[in-house]
Amino acid sequence: MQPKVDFKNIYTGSQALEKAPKIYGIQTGIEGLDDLFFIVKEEKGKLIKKTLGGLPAYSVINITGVNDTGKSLMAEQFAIEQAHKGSKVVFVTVESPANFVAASLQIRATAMGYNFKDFEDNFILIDAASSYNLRENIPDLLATLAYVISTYKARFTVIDSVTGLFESKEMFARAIVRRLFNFMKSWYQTSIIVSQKRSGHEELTAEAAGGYAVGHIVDGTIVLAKELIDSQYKSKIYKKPLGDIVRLFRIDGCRLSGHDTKTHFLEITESGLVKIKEPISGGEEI
Amino acid sequence: MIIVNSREVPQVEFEDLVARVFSKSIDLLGGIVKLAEYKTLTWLPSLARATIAIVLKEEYLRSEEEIAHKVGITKNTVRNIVRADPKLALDKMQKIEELTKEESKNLKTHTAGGIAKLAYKLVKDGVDAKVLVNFSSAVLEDIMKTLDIPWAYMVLKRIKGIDFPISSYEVLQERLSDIVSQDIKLTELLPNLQYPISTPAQLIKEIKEHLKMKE
Repeated sequence: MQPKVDFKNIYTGSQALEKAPKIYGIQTGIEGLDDLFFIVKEEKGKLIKKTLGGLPAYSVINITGVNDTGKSLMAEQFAIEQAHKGSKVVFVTVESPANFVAASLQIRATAMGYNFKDFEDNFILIDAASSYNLRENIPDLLATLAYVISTYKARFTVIDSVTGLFESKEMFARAIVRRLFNFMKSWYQTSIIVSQKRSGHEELTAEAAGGYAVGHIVDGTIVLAKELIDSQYKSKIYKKPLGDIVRLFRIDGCRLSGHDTKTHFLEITESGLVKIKEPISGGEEI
Repeated sequence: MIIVNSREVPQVEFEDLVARVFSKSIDLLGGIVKLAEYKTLTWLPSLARATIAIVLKEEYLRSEEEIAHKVGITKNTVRNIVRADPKLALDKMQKIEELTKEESKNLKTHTAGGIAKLAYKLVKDGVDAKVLVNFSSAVLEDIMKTLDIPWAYMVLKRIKGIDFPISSYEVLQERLSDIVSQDIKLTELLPNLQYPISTPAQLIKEIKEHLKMKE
């Protein structure tokens, strides 16, 4: 069999642009995050940096970090914000059973000042935590997702966490994430996938997003970290007293838009909401 | 809140995919009749095992251990199957006489693995076994007749026996020369379709889209 040219996948620039979706910002419901993404536009012959006002639409963003850094909270806040705005959101839960996630979403919505009852049916939860089949059979999970997205006309998908899908077979991590990524793209989903980082890996790098180069596949990665102030040096650079914990946030690359590259403080409020604060290098709070 | 769990959703048919890949593997070897003529029907069990192993590995991301347990072969055999070189198997298949001599009774694991791997790739690319394409074309023809879309079932009738994928319009030109829909000769549309076309359904869809554009 001779190698064949795959004509179907060759596009000129204009043909590809015809099919390209327009990139705009999707509000995340996370204070301080939306203005960290921007695009560059030409106005009167000058290039101007304009805020996107949220995550780039149709992007697949990976949120990674060790435990207790606020990954799930961020994913939940994003889901609530979009459901509250009236969009259907698919939430694939791989760690906690769906009823626990529902309870958590309700608490989060109240903290955000929304009445959960008004939009609770905008959430469609896929319970992969309770179903061995959905967790272990990627084709079944994708078939379920396709069914849910087409039935409910969903535009947003959250997976918490993708690490749970390759728990017992880490060598398949990239293959699994690649399939999920391709799936999200073909269904035009704006998507957040959460992945867990091992504590042994260096903080604030996306490379250790589960340790399996998942960052190369997705459109962008948000890295979260926490640090114990256990020395005078740290106390000085983070301007916090000894014994405190600081949480940190950084956007580690985004293919679809420009983004802030600084490391920021991250705060989890008493009501359980994530806020992105000023950069650690100083500067104004955003 | 709507909660979906696996009991409510349609299951992906593992068996269907295995059967399609198995059929394609037989297709690649020249068909079941040819295998009988060469007295190599003994190859079929090895081919079936290799097919299941490849589908479990590629589609369901199963570990070698899980595959060995499911198919009832050793882990080492699974390793030989999943590491087989499809190109080598392809080279061998092109000289089927030599292949039958070389592997007279039993198909070697790595050859079976190579064939199954190639067949899996082709099926995933939309190129199914000839027997399945012909059967689905016949079913499609019945549907088009029932729905009363004359040009469509005429097309399906005329393309019987044609080899898919179709890579250029010349093969269709003569067969469809006298079919007309809404005063448009289908032969006028053929050069504009997007080739290669891998199934009869795709051919009908392409023609329909171009007819729509002419409306």
